[in-house]
Amino acid sequence: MSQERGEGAGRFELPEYLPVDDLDPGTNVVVSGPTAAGARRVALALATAGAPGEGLLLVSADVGGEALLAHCEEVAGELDRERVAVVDCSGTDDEQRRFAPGVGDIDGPGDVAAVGVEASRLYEELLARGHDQVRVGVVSVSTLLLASDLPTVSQFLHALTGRVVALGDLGVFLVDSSAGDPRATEALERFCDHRVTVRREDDGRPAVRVDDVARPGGLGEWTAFDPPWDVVERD
Amino acid sequence: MSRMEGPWILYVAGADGPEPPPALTERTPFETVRAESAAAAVARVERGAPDCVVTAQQLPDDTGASLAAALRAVDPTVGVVLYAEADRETVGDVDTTFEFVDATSAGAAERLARLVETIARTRCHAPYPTAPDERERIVATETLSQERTASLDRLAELAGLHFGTEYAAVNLVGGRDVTAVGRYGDPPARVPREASACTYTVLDDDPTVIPDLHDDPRFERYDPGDLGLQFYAGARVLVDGQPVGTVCVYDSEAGTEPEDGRRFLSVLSAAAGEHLSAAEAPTAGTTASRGRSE
Repeated sequence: MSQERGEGAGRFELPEYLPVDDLDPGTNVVVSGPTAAGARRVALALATAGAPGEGLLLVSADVGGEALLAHCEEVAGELDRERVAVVDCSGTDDEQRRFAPGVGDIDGPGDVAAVGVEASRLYEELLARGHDQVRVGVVSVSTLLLASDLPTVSQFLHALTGRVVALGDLGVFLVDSSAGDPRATEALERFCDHRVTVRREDDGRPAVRVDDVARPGGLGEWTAFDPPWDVVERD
Repeated sequence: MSRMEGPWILYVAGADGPEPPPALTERTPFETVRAESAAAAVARVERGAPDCVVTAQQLPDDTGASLAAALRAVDPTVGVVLYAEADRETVGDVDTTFEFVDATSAGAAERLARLVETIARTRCHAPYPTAPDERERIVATETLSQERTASLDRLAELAGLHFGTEYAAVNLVGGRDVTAVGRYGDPPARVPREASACTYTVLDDDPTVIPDLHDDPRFERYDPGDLGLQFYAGARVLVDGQPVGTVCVYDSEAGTEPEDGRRFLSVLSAAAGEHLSAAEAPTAGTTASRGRSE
């Protein structure tokens, strides 16, 4: 398998405050944990840390695209919208909360096939704008799974992670571990290389553990960190 | 089931449609078979699935997006790339996941070649996880004899008697189906991969135990309960380091494993691997030439 673009490109840089090493091109990461523990923010931090030349392709299933971008900017600061594309499959009827009002006509997160094709199409648009590396973020896989069956979501994720591998990009997939069947989550994690598990420590700080998905026995160490967002101390 | 031959792609475009890009035909290891209509493409896939399908959007009798759905009805695992100038409106409603590369964009042919290579190697359009080099794994599996043997029947019987289950099998996990080459209790001779727990077992170093298949989200669409199965336990079989199949037991009632069940399955799977290695056909690895047009 040739990896011309991936080999020529540098590693994907991550925020310094995150205790996660920079990632090689062609890597897929699942971020797992409760939203309350900071899993969503960690996933957004991984997805949005890109250099100006990188494109950012988000699949927004939980909330409207504009709301998701607002969440991204809470974590990463102001984003250059020119390098961003959003597949808004939240199903919101509020045009103001869609990323591109009037354009996104995906009915909702259950229309997984349409999400996949739209993701490919927007990816092509990002390349046409001159972004030769792309970070892909799906927020969240759990919502897709609530709206569709596991084989359908599996096929979508398998194809999307395959594109990331083929073209030397970075994939970030959020799973809310407090929702859904853990067997379904485990099945979907198999499409990724690394699992970043997030929990909240007693002092309220988030902590992450990075594992190789292919080695379920090789659990990494928990490392707490000080994020740029406010943390709430546990009672 | 036809044996895997050299890697090949099915390129679908009308008689007056575009030629496949040189990046695909000259810089990849794929032989290219051309189909000049959607109907011809479906007929070709019915005879044996290619490593990937690349299709134009405008076909004489259909669209590429609709063809993708038709092909998935024949084989849910086949990889499909729409290579065309196509926007959302042109593509229309889609019923299945497929890849899209804008044929008019810079670097499109290179991108297409790399996607096709990855799809062929990993089978990443399948609705279940696959091995990192799934194509190599499938080749290793399908070069083995797919015939049932008395020796493997006896291994399956040992597994079934130890677990006290109605059924047991030594299975080969191929590209499309799971085929029983050793059977105890007359289980199905062949089931689609997406309906078989062995699809997951073959990827794991450790044995798999599923107390109740009916309650497992991985099988909710295909419901192996149609086959009357509920309890499942299995361990993968290696031949020359490649995971080619499983030794498994199953029952129509939910169950639990015996205390040493996983170890027992591992021992039997090692024995099955040794048997399959010894019986491996000397003509394994056939690489017939396939370059042609249809």
